[in-house]
Amino acid sequence: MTGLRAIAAWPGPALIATMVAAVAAGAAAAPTLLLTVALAPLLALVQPAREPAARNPVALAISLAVAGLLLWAHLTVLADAAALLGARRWQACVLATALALLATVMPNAERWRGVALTIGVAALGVVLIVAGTTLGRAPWAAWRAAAARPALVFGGGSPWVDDGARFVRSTTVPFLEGQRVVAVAPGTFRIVETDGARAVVRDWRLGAGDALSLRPGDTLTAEPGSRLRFEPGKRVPGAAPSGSAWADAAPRASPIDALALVVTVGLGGCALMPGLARRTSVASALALAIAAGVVSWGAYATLLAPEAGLAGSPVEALLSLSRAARWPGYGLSPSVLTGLVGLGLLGLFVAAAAVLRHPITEACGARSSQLWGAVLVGAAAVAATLDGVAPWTPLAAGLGLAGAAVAAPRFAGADGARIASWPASAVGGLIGALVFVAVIAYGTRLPGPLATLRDAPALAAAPAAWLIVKLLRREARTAR
Amino acid sequence: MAERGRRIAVLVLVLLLAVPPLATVLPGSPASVQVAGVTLLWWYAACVGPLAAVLATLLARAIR
Repeated sequence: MTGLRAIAAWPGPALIATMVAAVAAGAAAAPTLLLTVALAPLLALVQPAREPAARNPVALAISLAVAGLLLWAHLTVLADAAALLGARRWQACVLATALALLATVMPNAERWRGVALTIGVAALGVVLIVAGTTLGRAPWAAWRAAAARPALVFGGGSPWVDDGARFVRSTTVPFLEGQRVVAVAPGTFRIVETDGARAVVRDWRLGAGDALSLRPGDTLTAEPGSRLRFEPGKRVPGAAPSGSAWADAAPRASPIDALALVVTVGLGGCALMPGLARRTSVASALALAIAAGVVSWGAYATLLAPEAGLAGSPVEALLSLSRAARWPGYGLSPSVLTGLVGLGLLGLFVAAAAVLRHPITEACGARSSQLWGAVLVGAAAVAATLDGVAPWTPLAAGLGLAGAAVAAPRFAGADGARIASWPASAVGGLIGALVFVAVIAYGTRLPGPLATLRDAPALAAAPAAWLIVKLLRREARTAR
Repeated sequence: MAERGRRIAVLVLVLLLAVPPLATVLPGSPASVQVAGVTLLWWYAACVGPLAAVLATLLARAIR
């Protein structure tokens, strides 16, 4: 496996879209997320040498679950993009699934994986460079300009003020100033008005062209598929109140949440990129490209479209750079740039999907093609129909499960070892997976101080798997 | 990569990852200090951290 193909699983559409959206929204955890995702290939590079995985049902079940969750996350991003562009969710899922299946049955499948990754990175890179040159600002200058804005408001050219834009999933946004919104398509909207200490909930069924007046302090909940038009020049509901608030949110992040992100994403990266040994140049290039590319994209998106998080999908921030084409003296149309973003996401998906098949092949051998195809089609069906789930949910679950059930036992020395008559990796993986599922299932019963575990079950599952392998593996040696 | 170099690289990478959570709890909010209009925390996450990590990994490879 070449270096390029070994890293193909990492910069998938869900991870890239989530990071860009976090930067563009000024999320408190964004720097930690960015740094962890960027450093993950280097962590994978320095992890202990790995032996080929033993064939056993536990490894197969874990591989299938991880692949299913990550494919679901990636396909959700593509489906969201389709919904935002006016197409159907299933159309994007069918196209992406067909391309991924095609890439694996073609001769020289490994080579096509590298080609898909190259196309994906190049297409997104072109859009980023076009946005930067059109705006005439370096990323740090764009950041400075965005941070200097007294308020993040709807600008001219935004679809939210021109024709009205679509909510991809149920979204609740608070209003900091009064605003009149107009329903572009019929829909039901929930308004929570604050009347002193009392909250009044009203559900409004609006027809196309009907308007709603919201006061400062009100919140509005829009259902998926509903379309609204906002007033130009007004503050973006749900966005940071000002540029300085957007730029300064990160230093106020919770250290526990940051630790949870580091463990989930870092261990997940080590599990997904096991074949990276001796690929220092590739891992280094990927680390620097992710860090520079994502933060630049986020800064440009905030400057061009501060409302890029309104629709409820992280992919909106990725698509927002196509608005740079509206600037004068520029040759490409917004639809060309949007097409390039779509091509980039598809390329990243095909590359990531092909790599996710590798552990399934290792775990079961000959039947892997059918199993992988079934997982891919299943993930596509879920992504096309479950539009209420944000990509981060299956992405974090997939990375967390991979980290707890694959990377943690390996770090404890499970490769090549046995616990009783079982491979130590299988026992560690089983314990990691069971603890992971148990924390998810019973997370609501956890007491306050352990609440973080609900969002990051890997914080409990990874140490459990590591400890079991470390202790029992040693006992097995002593007994011998 | 030699075992000693690998261990050093792991330690350095983990320390680099620990900086953002630690920076948020330090007194005086050093992470909020701005350099050229961008906070130190963002300079670290986007430039200094990844560059230091790449450098540490390359140096660790040279250690036998």
